[in-house]
Amino acid sequence: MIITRVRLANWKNFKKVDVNLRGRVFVVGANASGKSNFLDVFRFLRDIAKPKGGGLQQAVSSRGGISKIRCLSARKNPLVEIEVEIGELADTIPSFRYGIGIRQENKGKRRIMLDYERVWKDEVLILDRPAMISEDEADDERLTMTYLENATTNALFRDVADLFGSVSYLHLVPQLLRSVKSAEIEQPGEDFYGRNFLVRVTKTADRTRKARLNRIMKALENALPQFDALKDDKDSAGVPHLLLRLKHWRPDAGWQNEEQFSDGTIRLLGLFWSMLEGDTVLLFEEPELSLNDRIVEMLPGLLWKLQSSKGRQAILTTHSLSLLSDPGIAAEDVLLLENGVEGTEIKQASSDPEIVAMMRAGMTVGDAVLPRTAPQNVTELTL
Amino acid sequence: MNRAVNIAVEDRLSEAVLRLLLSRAKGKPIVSKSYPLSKGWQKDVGPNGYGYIKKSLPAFNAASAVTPFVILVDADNRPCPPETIKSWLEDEVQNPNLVIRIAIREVEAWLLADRSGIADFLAVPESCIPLDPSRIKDPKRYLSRLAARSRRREIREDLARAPGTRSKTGPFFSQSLQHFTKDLWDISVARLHSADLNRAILALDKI
Repeated sequence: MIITRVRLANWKNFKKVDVNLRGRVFVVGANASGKSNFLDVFRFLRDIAKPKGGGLQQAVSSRGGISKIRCLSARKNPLVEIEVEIGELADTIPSFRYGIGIRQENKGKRRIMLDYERVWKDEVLILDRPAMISEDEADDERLTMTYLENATTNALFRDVADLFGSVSYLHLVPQLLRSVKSAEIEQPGEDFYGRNFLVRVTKTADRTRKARLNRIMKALENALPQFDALKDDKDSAGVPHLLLRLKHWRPDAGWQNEEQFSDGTIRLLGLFWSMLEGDTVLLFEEPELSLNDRIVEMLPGLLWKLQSSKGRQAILTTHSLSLLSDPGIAAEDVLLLENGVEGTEIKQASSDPEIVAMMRAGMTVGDAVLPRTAPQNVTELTL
Repeated sequence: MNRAVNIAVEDRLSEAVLRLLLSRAKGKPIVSKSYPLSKGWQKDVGPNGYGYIKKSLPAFNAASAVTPFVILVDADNRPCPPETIKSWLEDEVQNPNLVIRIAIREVEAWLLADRSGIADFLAVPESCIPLDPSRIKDPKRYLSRLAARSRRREIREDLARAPGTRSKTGPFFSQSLQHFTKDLWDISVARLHSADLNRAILALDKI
């Protein structure tokens, strides 16, 4: 299942959003246009739904409270609304629709409250809180929690909870990964900046891990000219390490661990690993960083294969022309963030007649779209 | 010792085709470097690789004094390839080590020239493929449309444009055809159905 449509109101720098998503989503926009804020919608839903340490209150407080979530250009204490549709394929009738409205009480305990929580299955409303649920009327403390976050209450829409709960986010920062200490920083919940990437690798069951590392090895053989072998290991303190051997790296072929890997190697490993892991929505923050253009231009094809054969959805942000130069990327796959009068607006590139006209004349989506994300007065950038 | 050559191409599929042709050429030249690095280089010269090659041709001509260069471009709809090249070189004399081969229309036509091979690969009847593929106006689009009629779902999804979307080809078009080129394309058959491919093969044999 994939997320086929997103509607937002007052979410961060988006006042109103209503876009369709397909199996591959390329999010483009100027710096600070809100690409990461858009990805954060999916992480927010994940934080509500995830089995361990999830929940609405946690999801809001880990973002610094509702004032950090709601849109600045909105009026005082507005409703933050998120609604997503979930279906087997893009452009079909969704199997589920899930929507919530969140606000903060403006007096008393100033709790974070659900204004509503609604679920549609096959376009039939199956849950409408508080309207349908009499207990909610009697005890408004119940509205500090979603039905989504509880296995008893989400039984009728478990697929939705499972999908949200397993959204994975990859933004590997090689510098953090290299630090030996990073393995000890056990973050409850998510793997922000890939700190726990190595732990994730070593915690995977032996056979699965071996199989994945083998597939990654095959891919690396083509991507890294000097690649020889890859394996994982733990040192005497039990700290996990990945070991890599390069040809020509000393005649006795020493193994290097991740502290010695190049930034590009680490990011490639992280990318490949998360592509093989799980079967759900993958979020990538600028996967092109540190990678050779020649590898970057292959990523859309790789992601397509992942999507078509395994049903995984990939949503990524990018500034890379190489990545978007693949003629197989449809205008419908690209979400363009543009600054409007009130907050950022999002649209599919296919809804822009100028872009469509250029693509019809043979331009790739990158050439047609990316100039719009470039700062217009960059020639005046001085320090 | 096999001779090292550099190549310059318009896209990854042309690169796969040229690499294969060179690997079958008599002298078995070894490809040392491939230009350009990526599409990302071409942002100032238009949507496809043509501008890049045109702009760089004097540079390749100069560098071919050191290492031979083999260049493969699509003629698209330009009238007379030799004239075009002359104009690109401006006033310079073409170095004998600079080999330029031109595919009539697009290199995809050379793949179509292996009629039974491509028909098998795409899982379409061989009768759908014209006897003289160089007459096809837009081979890329032709291939993509053929793929839409494939009996195999994977081919339809990878190579044909998804219904209702705006893109020139399917999402795995180039990679999929690169795979065909490397592993399945039979140039001994293809050269019989494509005069320009045959000329290219003969020229590469001389390197």
